[in-house]
Amino acid sequence: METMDTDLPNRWIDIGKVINRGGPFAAPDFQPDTKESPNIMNGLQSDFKILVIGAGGLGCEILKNLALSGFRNIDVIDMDTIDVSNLNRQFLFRRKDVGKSKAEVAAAFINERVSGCNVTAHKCRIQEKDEDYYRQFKLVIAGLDSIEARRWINGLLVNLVVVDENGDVDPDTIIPLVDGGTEGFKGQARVILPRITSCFECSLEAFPPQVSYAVCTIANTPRVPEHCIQWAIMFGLEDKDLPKPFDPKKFDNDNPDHMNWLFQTAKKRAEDHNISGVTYKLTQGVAKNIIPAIASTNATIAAACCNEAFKFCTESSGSLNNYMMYNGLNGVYTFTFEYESKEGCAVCGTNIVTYPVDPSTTLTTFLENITTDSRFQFKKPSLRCNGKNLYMQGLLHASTVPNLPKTLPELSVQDEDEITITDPSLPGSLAVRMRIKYKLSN
Amino acid sequence: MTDSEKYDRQLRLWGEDGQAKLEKSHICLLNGTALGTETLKNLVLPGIGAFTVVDSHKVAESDLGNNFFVEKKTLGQSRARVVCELLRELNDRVKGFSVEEDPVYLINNNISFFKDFSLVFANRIPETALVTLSAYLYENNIPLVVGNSYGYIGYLRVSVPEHQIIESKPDNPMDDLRIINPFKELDEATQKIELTGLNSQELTHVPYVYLMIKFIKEWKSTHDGKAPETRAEKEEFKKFFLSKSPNPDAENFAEGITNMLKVLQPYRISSDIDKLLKDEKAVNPTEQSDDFWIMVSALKSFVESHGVLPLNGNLPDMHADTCSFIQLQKIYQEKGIADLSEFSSLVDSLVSKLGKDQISSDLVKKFCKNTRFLNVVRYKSLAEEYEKPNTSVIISELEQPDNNMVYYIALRAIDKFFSTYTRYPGFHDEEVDSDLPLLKSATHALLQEHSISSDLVKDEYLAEMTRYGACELHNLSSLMGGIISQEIIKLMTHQYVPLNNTFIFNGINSTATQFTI
Ligand SMILES: [Zn+2]
Repeated sequence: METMDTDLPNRWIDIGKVINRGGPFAAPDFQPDTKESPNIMNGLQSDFKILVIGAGGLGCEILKNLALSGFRNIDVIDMDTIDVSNLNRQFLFRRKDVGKSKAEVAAAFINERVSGCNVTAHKCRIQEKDEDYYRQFKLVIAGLDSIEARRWINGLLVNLVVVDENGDVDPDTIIPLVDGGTEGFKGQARVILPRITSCFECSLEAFPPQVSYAVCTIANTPRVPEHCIQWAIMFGLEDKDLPKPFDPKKFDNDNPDHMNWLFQTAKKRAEDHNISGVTYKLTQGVAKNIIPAIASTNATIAAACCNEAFKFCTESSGSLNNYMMYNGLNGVYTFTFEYESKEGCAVCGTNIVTYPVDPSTTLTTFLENITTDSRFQFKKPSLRCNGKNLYMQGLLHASTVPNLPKTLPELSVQDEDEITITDPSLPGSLAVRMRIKYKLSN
Repeated sequence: MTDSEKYDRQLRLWGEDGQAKLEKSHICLLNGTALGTETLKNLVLPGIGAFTVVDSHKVAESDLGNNFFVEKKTLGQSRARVVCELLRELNDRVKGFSVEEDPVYLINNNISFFKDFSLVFANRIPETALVTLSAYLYENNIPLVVGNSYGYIGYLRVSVPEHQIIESKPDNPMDDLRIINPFKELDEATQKIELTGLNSQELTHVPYVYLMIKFIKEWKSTHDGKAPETRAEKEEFKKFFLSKSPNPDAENFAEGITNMLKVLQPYRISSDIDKLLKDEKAVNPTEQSDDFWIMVSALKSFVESHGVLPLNGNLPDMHADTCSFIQLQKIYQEKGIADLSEFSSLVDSLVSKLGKDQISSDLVKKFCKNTRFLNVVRYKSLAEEYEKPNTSVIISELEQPDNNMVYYIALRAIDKFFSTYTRYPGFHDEEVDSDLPLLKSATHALLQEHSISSDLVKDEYLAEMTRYGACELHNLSSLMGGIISQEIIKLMTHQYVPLNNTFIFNGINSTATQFTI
């Protein structure tokens, strides 16, 4: 492998200025590189392994930024393949690459363009790698649009931190997670130091689940084109009397014939109700929950993330503490602040969430309340209390169904009792502990 | 495979119209640095029409350490040509040109070279040449964007005499419902609805717009003809409104309460729009007036005769049965069409009075639908800023702890330093220590020139800037390239509101500030 000394002595002259020279705003432990001991440069070129999760709009930018920050050992994980609508911003891909693995094409491109850089691609889901795999990295950068994947990697990295019996954190086990996200002209970048700062799960409320339309509006009183498209998705696909050129169980958003059927069905529904405005484009937008995305916002957010990664590894400057919001709609607006840890965070907290509830609440209503609560965003929760299964998924599900109409006191849940909730959206074996606090009924 | 598929994710933001404007634009980049190519990358991808890179440098080793659009095998070749070729690979619809020439030479010897560009983006151009360029572009109404990526600091400045925006696309616009001042057709339709004859199921399907108008009217009849104004009155009105609800879960009533404070606001034209209507260009249109100001002038006549802006005509979704919603939607739509037709004839008669060409009906329609969000941004030229900066803003910012204004001052001082010594402070390792006092003197001289106390810029900031020695870190260039390209897209599409006028990004702690200097 080529190094700075043997190959192109002036290549890293710009980075050299901030790693060879001290400055008033460098981290307290910063030791500038010298000719005799170029520790930071050696770190960039061989010791610091960086993991990039996602090779999409943010991921392409992140890989380029890391490579041109001097990092040479980079892994990238992405299971997706390239779509034509990626080409307006995912600049490592060309038309000829459509259908190929994002991770593989991106890695090959960077290795070809930036000499000396070594990006390794993994076309898989992040859940397919074990803890030992993740432990090898100095830092992880996530450029994902999936909340679920971000929760998973966050939980894993928090769990990797070793905490002794006094509650002291072993700093060598901390792997920072730098996380970026964008939507149209807006985005955010943040630094998570597991067990030190707030974690992704602490801020779940900042990522509310997408708006859903009331089912009865969709079924009975459609008013806008979106309602008609939702109807085609929710009811049209299941309606056996509606002829379809495909198996409705195998409906595929990316198949133009399927999408066209959805469009025609929605259009018919709209015409029946005198509603105008159903277009193919809108149908696609609703069905795929398309989020607008542009190159410029991705570039800004990815670079903000990589700047933090570079500063963390080189200690050559201060750092973001710990959250930057970005909005480019009107002027260029940013807001940088410290996102605080949430009491009772299921991932990094030690406290228990106190949950006020009316004693007449049935298990059904309770389940409804906690699944719609934006702090938790449970998908399929299982509940246990005092060693007893209140509600379970999977094999034990049937045995707990009779509990649904019963109230919590009827299920022997006492005031101040703790309900343990597990859910597929929570990483690993993590659980939310909820202390029930009965409200006095009036 | 079509462009609309490829551009789908951006067309959802700026539409076919914005895209067409983007595809007509030709952007000129001065110096193919990392900042320059990162900016162009984000413009070539979404499909600007063309770009031209002006640069006399050869690809150097240091370019391989921060610029993605050069390759090892291109070392020593023209940087303009190399970055141009690699940028063109990003999008076969975009034309790219390279000019192997020193931008400063062109500015000093052939300034009309710049006359046909839609926008010029300058980086690392010495101050004197930059002021010359700025004056020329300002005179020719061509936007100038100046950017700098300097160590951990980013800088951006936008300048154009006047930038007009029809679609400013605010984040959460208020709906134009006219509940407090219903137009005749809406008022009549509300009168026709008999709530007393409805069963409770039917009552929960009446759009809240009708309910509000009806109950405000009823309230007025017992309150001297006045709508609820004070907080107490609004509180009381809320109870009154809810007392009409057939059950506590009625969603249309709940919607009414959610929107109550907004819809009870007296109708008024925003101060920004009012300012536009009073602008000299709106008051006295001439045959030189452009389409935008002719339409503002016609809008002024519309407002003078009606007291309100033309109705936009859109009705947002609200709880209702299909039939009542569609009926209400029609009422708004038809009023929107009637207002548009009146506005169009005002435009037509003004155009013919001034002896000008017709304005396309699409443009008139777009203007009419967006009258609440029109915006005109007027910028200072660089020459004016350098001579008469907004010192009160500078001083009040400098007085804040941890402000980013110090970096604006430092970068200006570095420009002065460069003019004197033809090198950047700290560029060479052996000059870091001796350059710092020189930069301090340059800074103090600059501050003194504008009667600003030199205590306001602490030495540590100048030491940090000297440490950077004009280095360009790829991350900062890519971040600023993202922001600069976004502002260029806003300037080219005339959508959204661009920065006015200066932006500093502080990559040390990831904070940023915009100033009007
Ligand atoms: Zn947490």
